[in-house]
Amino acid sequence: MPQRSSEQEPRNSEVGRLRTFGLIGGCGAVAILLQTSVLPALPFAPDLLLIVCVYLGIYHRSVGGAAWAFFLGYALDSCSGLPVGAHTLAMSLVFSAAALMSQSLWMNNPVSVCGLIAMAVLLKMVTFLFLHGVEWASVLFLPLVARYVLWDVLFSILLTPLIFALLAMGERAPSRA
Amino acid sequence: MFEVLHRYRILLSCGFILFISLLLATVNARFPYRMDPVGVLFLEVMQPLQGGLTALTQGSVQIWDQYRDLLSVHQTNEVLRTRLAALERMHEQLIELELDNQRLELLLGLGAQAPGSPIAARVIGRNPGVWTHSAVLDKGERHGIRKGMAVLSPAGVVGQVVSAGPHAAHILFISAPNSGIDALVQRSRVPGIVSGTLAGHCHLKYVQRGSDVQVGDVVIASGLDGIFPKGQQIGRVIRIATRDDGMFQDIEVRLSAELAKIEEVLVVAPAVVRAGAAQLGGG
Repeated sequence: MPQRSSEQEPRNSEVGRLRTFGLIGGCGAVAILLQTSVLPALPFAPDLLLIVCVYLGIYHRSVGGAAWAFFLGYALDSCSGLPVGAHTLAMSLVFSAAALMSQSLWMNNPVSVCGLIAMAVLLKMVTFLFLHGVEWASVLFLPLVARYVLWDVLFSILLTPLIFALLAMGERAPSRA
Repeated sequence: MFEVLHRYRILLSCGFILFISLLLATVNARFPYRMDPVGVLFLEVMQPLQGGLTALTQGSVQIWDQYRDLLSVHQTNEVLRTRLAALERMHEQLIELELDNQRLELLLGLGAQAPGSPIAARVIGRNPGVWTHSAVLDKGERHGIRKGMAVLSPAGVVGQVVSAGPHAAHILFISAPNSGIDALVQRSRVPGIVSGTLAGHCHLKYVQRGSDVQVGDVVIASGLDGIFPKGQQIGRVIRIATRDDGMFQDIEVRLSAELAKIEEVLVVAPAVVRAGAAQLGGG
């Protein structure tokens, strides 16, 4: 898990912003591609885009980060065949929760990030159930749904260090410009 | 004003995207799959990549499924092989039982024909020596077997009981050099003595030169020795040699019973004993 503070990261330069823009866009596109093409073939499909949105919420608490979360959710909706809105709202909620929590709480440690990921998975699930008009409080504790959520949380937590490390490496890579 | 906006920019941007998202979700919940130009644009960009990756994934999944099927086929093959081996063993056992059954049926038929009360017995041991022609039966005196009884098989005469214990008996095959059976050539009724040799062959001895004996003639027990029932087949003439000197012909006989392979036999009491028993029964 990359240990760093958003305050310590100088992102004022145009190059840095462009690189971050490209990196988030590229990672988001790869995540969407994997999520819509490869992961459905597996028994449990972790939400990679959700992890990217949590990363944005922790390390890119800005208008740009919010816009990215919104557009990534929108793109996932468009590419996954769902009516637009479900993933858009879920990713916006996840970004908002991560951003607001990391603004007031210390989130730069693995335990907090894992907790945040678990919360984000639950938040996404509740959003989906809410949008489908299901009484989420009763459904969430059904054994099948609970097992699905638990596996989703577990896989997402396992993948988080990798995705965070890749994104952090991409942002820290020396520029050739 | 700008200072406030800048100060609460995170909160405001979050609120804004949430509002827009909720609006989108609500509108799309009421009118699902309406025309969405931005979504179409996203899809146009992603579609070739999605198509390629999906094809790749499906190909990989297919290969994996085929591999798993192959493993499953291998396992099934192993199970079937094991089952086939078991069935083959069972089949062999059934064939063996069928052969047993056939032999026992023949023996039963012989028992019905044989005089007195024949005793069926199994050969449980053989003498491995070349020069001795004997075997052990699984029945003895307790079962009524006595020394001197004739031993028969459906194919023909086998030999004679030479000693009997309580539960087993020794028999001497007719191929033994020291055995001898009073015999007749069935076709011409020429008498002789069938006796074994050290080489394991049998000869019809004491047949005078000029007697009517041909190759292929059936040799049967004459019944004159009082041991073997009359008419019981002994074998067939396979070779006749007439010597220049001497009174008798040299006639070789092939035994009807395959002594080396015999498994079940019928033990019959000698004719004199049978006659005595009949007299006792009659008296």
